[in-house]
Amino acid sequence: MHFITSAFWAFLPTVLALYWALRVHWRWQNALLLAASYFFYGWWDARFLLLIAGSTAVDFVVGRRLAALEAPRSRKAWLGVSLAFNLGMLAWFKYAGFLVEQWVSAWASVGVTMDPMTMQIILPVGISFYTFQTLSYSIDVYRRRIEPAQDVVAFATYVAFFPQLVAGPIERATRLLPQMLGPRSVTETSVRSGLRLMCWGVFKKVVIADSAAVYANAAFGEAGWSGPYMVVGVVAFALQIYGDFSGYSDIAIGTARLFGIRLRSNFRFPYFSRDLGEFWRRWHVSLNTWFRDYLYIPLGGSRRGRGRAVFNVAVVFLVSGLWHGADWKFVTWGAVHAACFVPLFLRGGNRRPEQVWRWSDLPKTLWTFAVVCFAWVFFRADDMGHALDVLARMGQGWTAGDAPDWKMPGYEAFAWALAAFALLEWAQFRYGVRWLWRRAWRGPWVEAVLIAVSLFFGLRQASQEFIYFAF
Amino acid sequence: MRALIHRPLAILAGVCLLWGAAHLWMGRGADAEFEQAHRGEVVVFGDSHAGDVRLPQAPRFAFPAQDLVSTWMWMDAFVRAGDADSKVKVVVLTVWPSKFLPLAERRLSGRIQEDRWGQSVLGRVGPVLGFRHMVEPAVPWRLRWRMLLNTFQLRSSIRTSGWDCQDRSIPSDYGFKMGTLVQEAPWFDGAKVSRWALGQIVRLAESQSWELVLLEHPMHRSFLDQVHPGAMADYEAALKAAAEHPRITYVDMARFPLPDSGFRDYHHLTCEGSAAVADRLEPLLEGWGISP
Repeated sequence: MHFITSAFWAFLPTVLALYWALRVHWRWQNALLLAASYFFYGWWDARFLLLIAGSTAVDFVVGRRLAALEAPRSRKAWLGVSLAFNLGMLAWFKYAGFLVEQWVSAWASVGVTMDPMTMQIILPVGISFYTFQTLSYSIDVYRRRIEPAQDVVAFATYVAFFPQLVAGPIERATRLLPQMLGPRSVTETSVRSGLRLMCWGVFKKVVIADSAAVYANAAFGEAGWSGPYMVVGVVAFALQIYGDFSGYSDIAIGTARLFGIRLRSNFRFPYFSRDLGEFWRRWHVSLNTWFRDYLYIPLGGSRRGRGRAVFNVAVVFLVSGLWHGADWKFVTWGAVHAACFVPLFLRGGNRRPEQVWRWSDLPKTLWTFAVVCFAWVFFRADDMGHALDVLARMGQGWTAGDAPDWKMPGYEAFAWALAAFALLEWAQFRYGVRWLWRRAWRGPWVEAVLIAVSLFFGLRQASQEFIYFAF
Repeated sequence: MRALIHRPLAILAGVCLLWGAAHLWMGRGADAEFEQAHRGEVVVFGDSHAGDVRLPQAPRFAFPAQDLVSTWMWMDAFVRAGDADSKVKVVVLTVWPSKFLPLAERRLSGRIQEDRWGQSVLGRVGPVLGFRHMVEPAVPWRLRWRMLLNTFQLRSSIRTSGWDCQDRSIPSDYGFKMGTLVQEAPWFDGAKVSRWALGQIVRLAESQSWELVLLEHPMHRSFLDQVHPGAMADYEAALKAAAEHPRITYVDMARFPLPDSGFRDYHHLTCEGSAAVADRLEPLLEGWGISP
């Protein structure tokens, strides 16, 4: 089940009604949320519930043992259990096929042919997200930043909370777990903001991402676009992935608010960034801060000299690329970002406090967007060969010639929707998110219009799977 | 806590208001198109086959993969848009077995079709959707809901006119593989909704004293050789039964010996194929005093 299905819109009110009917007993609310979350996940493939349950059980036990033990060696051993289980699970389901492939091709390069056992491993939806969430819990307990959970149902609900289970935001136990351990409430303001975020997320996904996908798929597909049309296709993918992923995050955050639970923001208008440092503080915030806290800093951060700091930055970007998928194209995507980020890092530009955006920043913003789009080519392409082909085609066909058939059905409506979207995004970025909630716009008509426009687009075009489900 | 109920209801009410306004606006646009069509003597309804009918002057209400329920709804809206000054004498409706096949019936049960043709058709019929269609017991509930939802596509009913044809025909080794359901099952028995809709269309034509032509194009042998013979016979018998009414004519050309050069695919025609159909249709129209 995902958010843009009729099943979800029947599921959500049912769970909400039962949830608030049980509001006197927050433990029962947790039990209901847990059952609902497992149902939500099991709708896709019930077999993989065992993985979530396994990860939950291991980290619950590890957390309690870490709190009970004092000897550093024993504590490290128990942390090792959590790391081995979660990373092992991730490695098996996500990277085993890739590693075997690399092993075989490495031997083939020296003339040794191998016939590997073919592995058809299905990637469980959301595995990269919930394993990182449970890992952060074990590491935080190990670092004694939080007390271990005593209530297994509350802990399991923290791991499997359905709005953010399959594509984030990746929550920390320090923030989400305490919310599972007490009564919750909603106010008129939180309901209003939650519903508006959900509608805005649906609009971003259905209107912007799914429409942009038509152009991106044509450009990266067999349409044979080149030159300016190929550039349009790459920009379309940039819009698609932003609308898709930030739309999902907005629906997740908005849905959680209806349950009286606050999730962290995951996107802060990243395409208005003036440099890559700012971009990474605004894009997929929950993942990037995770890497900062659990990889970059443990590696030594910037405390061990500039050379080591640069190495650590590169490691973070490469691992971030690999986190997205077991393919060299994702590693290259990370490497491109690392290569472009390191000069800024060495100048200390990534640490400058954020200034108010001015029109004089426009060239920097456009340049940063161009760099990000260049990297997206590797992310979106089928493989490295395809990425290089796309880049080559971007450089060709700039002289006047036959224009391809680029006008997709409904392109005028999409152009209007895109203009409105850009304006609303810019206004929120420039004047703050609350600009959208000002008094004149508090009425339900804003949500009604967003839903109506989403229905208009959603019913006319094919819906696309959320991109980050694949990670 | 009350906001959890009030706010979604307020949003829903807003969406319904917007829907109502858009529906009225689109409905008026469709009415205007139907009123225009009442100024001619012949009107063509149907699916993509209507594009191969050589009647350049006749307005056409057709869309690829148009099913019989939505055709009935268009014809119903067309009847309502007419008045005493209507000049319409003949309605040509293109029919072929596909309208009764399991795929069509599945679509009419409200299920989403992967190639999204069904979705497009529901959008096209949106402007003419009325309360009477929503309370019609023979229309499956899921289809009613999907028709209602798909009015949000805000598509127009598209009246087209003129005629064009293509010369590029199928190669001599052309073949087409039908699904097993079409080959092995007596599918006509299962086409409950389509058969009901055909009955409604016939009744509409009778009530208006129109000449209704059920026009069936030639089918390529690759289709005829595979289709379930019993189901095909039932289908043809049903059309012949409908044509027993004095004002209904069944132009049965499914087995017409058209050479391969007459087909663009197993059911669409080239200029040569269209001319063969026109040779059968034009004398009929002339018999009713209409110059094609």
